[in-house]
Amino acid sequence: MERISLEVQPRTGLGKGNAGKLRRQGFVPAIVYGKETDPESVSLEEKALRSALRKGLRLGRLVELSVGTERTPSVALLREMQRDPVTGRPVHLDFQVVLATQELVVDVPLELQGIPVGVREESGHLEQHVWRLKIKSLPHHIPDHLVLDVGGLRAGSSLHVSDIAWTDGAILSDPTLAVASVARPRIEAVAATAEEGEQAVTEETESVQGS
Amino acid sequence: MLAPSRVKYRKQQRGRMRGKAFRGSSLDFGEYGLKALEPAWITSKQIEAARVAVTRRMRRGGKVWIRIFPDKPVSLKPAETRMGKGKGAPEFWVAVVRPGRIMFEIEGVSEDLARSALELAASKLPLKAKVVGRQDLGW
Repeated sequence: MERISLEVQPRTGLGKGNAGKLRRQGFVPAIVYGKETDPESVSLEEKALRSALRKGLRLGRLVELSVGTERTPSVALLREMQRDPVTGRPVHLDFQVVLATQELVVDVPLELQGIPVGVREESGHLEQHVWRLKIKSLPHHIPDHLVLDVGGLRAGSSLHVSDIAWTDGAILSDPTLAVASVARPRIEAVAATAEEGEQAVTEETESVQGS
Repeated sequence: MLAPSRVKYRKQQRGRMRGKAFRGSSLDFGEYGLKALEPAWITSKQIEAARVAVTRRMRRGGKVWIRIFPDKPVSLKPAETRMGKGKGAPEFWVAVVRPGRIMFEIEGVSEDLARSALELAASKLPLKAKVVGRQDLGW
């Protein structure tokens, strides 16, 4: 996937009052920091951010960040994105400027590939227990997402972190952690419970009418 | 129905429901969830009604998580009682829900079925709510 570029502007006003004013003007406050970079408060246009999000920007992705117009763009990692809990609108972003030789610890999404045998033939249903995994890798090896093939998964069995084939870095999450499983169908149990419930309601109604 | 098994104090003051739910406002378990858009007290009966509605709609599988728990006792005075003589007896339990809170999550069913099941659950609850999916959060 191509690297997304973002243009940010330095900002002088700090604090929640100034940040709120920026947001009302259609900007999102952010901060840029790094091992060899002094922290700098910046802001970016919400419109540009939304378009970047549509292009696939998310936590743990590298972006080409140009602070102001005169400086050369630097490669930065979207380290944190605070959102409004109700509207989902971005409230604040953290960008970490990365060095090509510096290993990073990042959370990346996990995607399951294929339809398990347990779902196709045994009517089970696929459950994904882990959606993001912590990895350690050099910046240019950070994947967009980790992929796990679940095609051979039977009902009642599960796959673990250790089953993920990825060699460009280290997966820091516990290797014994179950990431996906196929649960056995429980249609009969549910149907029986539902019928019992309906029967109980009918009996109750009858007894009320009888009394 | 959901209720605490043991509590330190039987009665509580009502409290306020100001602000937003900064905790419990993201999808953590399932693929789709029901997000509260306004504050409300949700009783254990309402939670149970919503749960039953979801499980019946998803008859052929799937998994449901209930992300709220009714841990607040509500006391009422008996009918036709004069004021005074102390606080009423605890009658039922409620969960205090603030805007942004993910109340239910489901997984293992198609998007259409998930959305219709959660909309049905929303109709059992005393607040406005919307269905959210992982793709809506920009992950």
